[in-house]
Amino acid sequence: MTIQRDASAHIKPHAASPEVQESLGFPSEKIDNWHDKAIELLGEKVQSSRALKLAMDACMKCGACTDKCHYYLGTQDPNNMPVARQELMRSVYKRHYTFTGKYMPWLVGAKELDETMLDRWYTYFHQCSQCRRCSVYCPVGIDTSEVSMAGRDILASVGLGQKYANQIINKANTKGNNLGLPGPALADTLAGLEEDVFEETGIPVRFPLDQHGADILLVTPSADFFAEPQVDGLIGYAKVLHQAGLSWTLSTAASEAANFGLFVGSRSHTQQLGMKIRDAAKALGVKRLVFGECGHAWRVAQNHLSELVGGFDFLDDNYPKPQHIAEVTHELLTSGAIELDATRNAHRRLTFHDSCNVARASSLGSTPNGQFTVPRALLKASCDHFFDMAEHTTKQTTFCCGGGGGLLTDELLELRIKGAKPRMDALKAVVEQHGVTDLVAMCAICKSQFATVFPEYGYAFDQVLSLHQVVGDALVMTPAA
Amino acid sequence: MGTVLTLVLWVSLVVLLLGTVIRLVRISLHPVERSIVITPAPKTRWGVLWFFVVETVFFRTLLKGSLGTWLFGWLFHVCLLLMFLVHLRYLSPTPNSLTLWLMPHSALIASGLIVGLAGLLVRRLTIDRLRYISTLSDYLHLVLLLFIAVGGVTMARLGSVNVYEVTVFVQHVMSGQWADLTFNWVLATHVVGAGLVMCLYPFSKLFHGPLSWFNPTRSQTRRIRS
Amino acid sequence: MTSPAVAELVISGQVILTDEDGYLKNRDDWSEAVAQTLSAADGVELTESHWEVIRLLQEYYDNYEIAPAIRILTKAVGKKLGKDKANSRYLYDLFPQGPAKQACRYAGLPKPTGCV
Repeated sequence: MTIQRDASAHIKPHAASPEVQESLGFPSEKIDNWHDKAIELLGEKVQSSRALKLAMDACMKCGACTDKCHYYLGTQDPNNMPVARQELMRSVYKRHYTFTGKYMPWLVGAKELDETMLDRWYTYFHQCSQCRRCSVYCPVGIDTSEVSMAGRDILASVGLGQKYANQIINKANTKGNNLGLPGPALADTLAGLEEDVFEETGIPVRFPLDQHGADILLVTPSADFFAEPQVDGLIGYAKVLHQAGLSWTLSTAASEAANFGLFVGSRSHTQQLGMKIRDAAKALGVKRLVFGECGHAWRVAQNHLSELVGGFDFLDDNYPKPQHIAEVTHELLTSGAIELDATRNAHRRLTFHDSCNVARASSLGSTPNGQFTVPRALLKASCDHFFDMAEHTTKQTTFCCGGGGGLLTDELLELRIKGAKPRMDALKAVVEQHGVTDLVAMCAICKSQFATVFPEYGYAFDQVLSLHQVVGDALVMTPAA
Repeated sequence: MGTVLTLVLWVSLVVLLLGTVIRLVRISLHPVERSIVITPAPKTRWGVLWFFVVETVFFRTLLKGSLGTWLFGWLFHVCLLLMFLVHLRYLSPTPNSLTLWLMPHSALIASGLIVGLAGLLVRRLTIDRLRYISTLSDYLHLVLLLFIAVGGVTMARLGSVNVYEVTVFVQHVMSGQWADLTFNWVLATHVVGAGLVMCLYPFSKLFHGPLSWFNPTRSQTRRIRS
Repeated sequence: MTSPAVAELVISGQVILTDEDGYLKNRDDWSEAVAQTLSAADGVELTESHWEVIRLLQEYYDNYEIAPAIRILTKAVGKKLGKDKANSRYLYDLFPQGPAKQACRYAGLPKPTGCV
């Protein structure tokens, strides 16, 4: 495979509108002194982040990462090689902040941040899904997502925000969730789900909303209320919690788990969105906080949330703070509180897509590899036909779905289709070898991305399933006493 | 020539040592904002230490990432270390036993060194992905190291350098005394080249080894929830 | 796959603004002619089945200020058009770019955002 210069240079996200920019505290449009401001911010960011400083200083251009990014493999655009993506920022950093870059730019490839470079920043920092597969292969552990996050924040700060992510942060801030789903619509949606499940099972599974005094607050991406197959996952959580006899509730105020503040590299927005969850948990007086199937929500929840929002001392100390729904279900399964009947999924042959933010940035349960073993254990207990994709495409070296990191937007569809190729190749192998019928995922973005790109690769949009959809279908339910 | 080379070595040693200390202090002062460790990650500091020991000895991550780069890169680094040990003979009239044991194999070690460096250079020149990301300095680092290695081999082959004289010279330099040395072009460029690498080391990408120990993606432990 | 970015549509002499993805800036500008113009650009001919869905979306939006979740839509379609049509495959056949987004665009509603 040879590189093809500028093969994806034409793919870039829409710019955020002036209103959205202002609502997030960014300039409404590109500012006049964008160059000086960007250089100043770059210096500040590198100064305040060791990870970024190492990305600027420690790369020896060994090239180990060059063929690891799904966007490079899909587009062959050399700027999608992680080292080259970093170099867009590194070359500017060298030019302004290192001796050789200032006086001998030709020697170290230092470059000025001119209009062309600014455009490349906007283009290629938005062709990184921040999945960190490249970091796994980097001998010095450089994290390209830190570069693209910082790059996006600098761009937004000089007036060049990205529409999709910034609009979503604005909606989450003003309406409580990324969809902009108002409380009455959420209540109506949940009532509809109660009807559906009752019709299907004859069992009155409830989807409680804003229930004071419930034991568990479940926070899940708003896509779970809206889209398929996400909603089937939500039904699965409800069935499991019902069958286990646990008291739980959703919250209107915290009706969003997915924290887009992370994608745009903004600590303050990540914090603001996280505070909603803490406030809701406190207001509802719950004892436990549980997150639904969402990749980066879990990354934020497990790694940053507690320190960002000032801890969860009011929650019950007998449970980890917070928990993931897959852990909760797995514990219920191993303790015998619920039973799964694999024959109910006999018509399915499954494989599992490890989501990047769960696989490489978090863990599940108490074992070091829990993020890989817990979902697989649930699937194997729910279905007798489970087949893993090739080793180098799963677990720690899983390929991104192609739509993560704030790129799940229509104008980037060409990139998303191309970026999905490595995953689709791995899927094709197990489809051909084992007759796999469905791909299971546990991240709202992965699910939407696959539902969208599957038809491009010869699959139906509904061949992607939620983990808890499969679990819910296998769950042995007993009518309430 | 002795005076000039004495000065070169003194300056290089000071720059190397001071530069290394400064660089390490500066990177450790850069704050780690939040947990970004790549999982699965060790739970304890000892686990992290073990990761880095394995990483430093075997370049395990590079092996996973690129077999070709690992092969040449690892060969180069190992031979560089062995060659450094061989050079310890110049520090004392009675070298340590490891150095004595390695000395007869120095031709083999030099070959490994040169094959490793040449392999890295050829990869950089022939693989389009690597060519795309390489700047002039990336090539020059390799060329400089090759130049030093080839100079060393040339001297060994020609036998044109009086080893005893060099040993006396080095011991004088290390004990802070001016020393004399018979003029030899190859030896002069070899020493000046090595001095240049020592000066560049703390201030260039050559410092990647020590820096990697500071990377939060690897040096943090796995988050344990409260 | 997405429609070409149009800044404005001209329908019977009237200028109608859309965003980059072809969603109406102002819902009040919507008319059947708008839906027809937008769908024609995609090579889709609107049948009575499409109109049913478009009207369901608009009704729901009037009540809740948001497009209905896909399950609510399929259920409503089922109630109106029969159980065999109460599934998302039926909706995808009508709106191959995804019912939520493509149908919302023709209905003059804003684009759903988030992980959808």
